[in-house]
Amino acid sequence: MALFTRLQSVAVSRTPAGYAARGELSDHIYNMSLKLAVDQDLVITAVEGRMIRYTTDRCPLGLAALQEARGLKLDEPDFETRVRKSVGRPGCRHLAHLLVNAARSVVRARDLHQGKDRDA
Amino acid sequence: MDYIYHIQTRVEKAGGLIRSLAEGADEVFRARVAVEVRPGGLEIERADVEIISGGPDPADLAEPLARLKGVRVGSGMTKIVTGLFQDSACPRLAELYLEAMEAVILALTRPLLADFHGRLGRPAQGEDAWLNPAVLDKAGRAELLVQSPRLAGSCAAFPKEED
Repeated sequence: MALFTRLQSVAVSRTPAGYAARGELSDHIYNMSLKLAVDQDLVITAVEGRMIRYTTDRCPLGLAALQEARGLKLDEPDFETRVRKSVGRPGCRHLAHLLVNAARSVVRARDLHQGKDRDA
Repeated sequence: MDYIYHIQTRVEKAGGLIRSLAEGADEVFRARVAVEVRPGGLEIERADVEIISGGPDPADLAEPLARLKGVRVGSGMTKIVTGLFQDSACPRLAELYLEAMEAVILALTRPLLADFHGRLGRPAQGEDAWLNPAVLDKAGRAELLVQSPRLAGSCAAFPKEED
């Protein structure tokens, strides 16, 4: 029997403005999701989250800290550190983790598409 | 949809050890990592990797895998594991090992939270309450802080000072 299971998925779409991503995290303790929009330069222009299952009555207050990620650039070297400090610590570290995975996926989607564009 | 990435993590007992597996997959890359951790000290006793597609030859990963042995699951692991794989042919394997290691912590936390929710949980409020039958209110959070003081200041649920 599993002691713990976690599923995470991120789906990324190209948009006229840049990219949009939707991430979901579901495990034996938590369930949450987020939506992310970035421009062509990979700067976060909008982000919103939803907490569905959590552990304390204060956890949903952590959603507000997601807005600290607006303006951050996904491919900057300290992006993940800044997310963990500005979104995770004052908000929710699991939501920050999901945001980091969503950001990595957007960068990989961009890299894949740039490669495909070059190959076309 | 233009790109989809999945990560699946599972923690289970493996004899006297705790085994944690993480698999990540997108349209190009798919790999599965495993760590076996000794309860108590939480040091990694064994680390394995299976590259299914899009990754390096596992033979090229022998050095970082060997150096994972003895790394402790807990504070500081992100810096250590990222450093071990940053010069390898596949730095994203570090992400999967960290997923597996984080899952060990959550697996150990799960029964503690279940106990607190069983004794002190209150129904959640809002539209998703039916999915969330027990959350800790101020009294429950205070009791949890007594047991786990390191939580203080760690997130919105456990502010250093509460109004």
